[in-house]
Amino acid sequence: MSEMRSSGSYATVAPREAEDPRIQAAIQGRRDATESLLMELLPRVRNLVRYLVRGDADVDDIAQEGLIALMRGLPTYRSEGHFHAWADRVVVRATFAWLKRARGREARHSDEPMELVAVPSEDAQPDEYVHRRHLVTLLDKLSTEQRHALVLHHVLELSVPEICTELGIPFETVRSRLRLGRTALRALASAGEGEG
Amino acid sequence: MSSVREEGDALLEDLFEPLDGEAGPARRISRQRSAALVMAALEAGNREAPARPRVPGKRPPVWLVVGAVLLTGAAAAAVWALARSESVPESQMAQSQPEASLPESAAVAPAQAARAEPQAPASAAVSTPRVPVMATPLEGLPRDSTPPTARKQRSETPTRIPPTAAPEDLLREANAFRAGGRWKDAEALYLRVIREQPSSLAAYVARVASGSLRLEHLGNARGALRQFQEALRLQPQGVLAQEVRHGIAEAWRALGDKAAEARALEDFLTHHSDSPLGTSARARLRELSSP
Repeated sequence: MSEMRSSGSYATVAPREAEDPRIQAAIQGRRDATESLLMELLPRVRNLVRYLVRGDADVDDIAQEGLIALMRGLPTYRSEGHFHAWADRVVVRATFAWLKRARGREARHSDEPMELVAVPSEDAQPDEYVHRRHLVTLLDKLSTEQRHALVLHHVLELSVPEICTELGIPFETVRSRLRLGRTALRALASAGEGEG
Repeated sequence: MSSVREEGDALLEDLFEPLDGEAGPARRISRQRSAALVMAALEAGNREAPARPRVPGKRPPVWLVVGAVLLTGAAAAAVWALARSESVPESQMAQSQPEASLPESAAVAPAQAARAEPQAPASAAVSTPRVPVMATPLEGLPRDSTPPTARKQRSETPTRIPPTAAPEDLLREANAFRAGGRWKDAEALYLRVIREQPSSLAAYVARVASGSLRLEHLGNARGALRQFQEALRLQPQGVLAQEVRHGIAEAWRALGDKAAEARALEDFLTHHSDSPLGTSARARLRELSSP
């Protein structure tokens, strides 16, 4: 399959990721390299999972499965694209697989109290952290389908055809989910501003 | 950035940012917790070699396999015919005639015969001339004479293990088998370690490894349970106690005994409340206790 990310911010964020010597060392089974790589990837993995799933309860479980999937998938990584883009794709799939297995638990999570925007954090950049937490509390109110389309498009910067491939759904369905998701998100954000 | 996006507006541009590893939106966790997550993933990834779950639906249909075999056979015959007609000069034809008249049994190495065997059903007409073709490279014809690698690997590894090998060497060999997906060979070595030095630390490790192997790859949950229970009995506070207790719960789950699984999970959470597996264990326990 072609690379998921057609372009995007990674070209500027980490231009030489594929050449990180730890990647090859990890592929060759060196535990220290794998550990170091996973430690570095973990915050990104957790953030991606949180964007994709409702609530915080399952984030670490899914992130751990994502890390395992990354470990197992490393031998299949070809240095053709950016490592982070490849890793994101693996984590997205691990997350979708987890969600599929846990479908029956969705109802329970929807009963969880919505988290307040101001979340205590020791060393986070307060503005940025609060902003992102605010976004996911809004995403938590969308349908899972719309949420996934929005996250893949706006956070992972996949094109619509790439999302079609990833989700296995038709082009028009993706466009529709994006359109409805944006409308719902705008309404939620505006309502929040009105309240504030 | 915006070139990738289908459409958008200022509000959405403000809301969304490209993914990174900075703060949020996931809740912050401590460094220790991060390390524990990674360690658990490493352990799980190493313990469970790439599992190939039995998914009947994913198996290619019989007609496809038969078709592929037929196609392969036909292609091999065509290539053989083509190569033979092109690579044997006219002047050598007279020399090659006597070779063709050699008895087949003398011309075919056992390995080659073994290789020819699975292709036999493709076509009787194809399999018959393949035999002398296997022999012709010995005469210096420019033909690919690469020996069958699978056979080489199979005959190599078991003979490397001396009968008096140390348990650590056996464990290393077993892990190598395991990494190569040779579950039964790995299991045999684990059992040998247990048999030869039953009270050693190596035997304890082998027991746990055998348990997870049986559970995950050999479809023997009952056997896995025995191994885990025995490991726990021998070393209740052993270095792998967490894996052992979790393994017991997983084995009961595989056996479909929900009550025993719930008890095992409770026991696991009592002893290892801060385990990275705790969250999933609690979730499973809730599942089991819900009506």
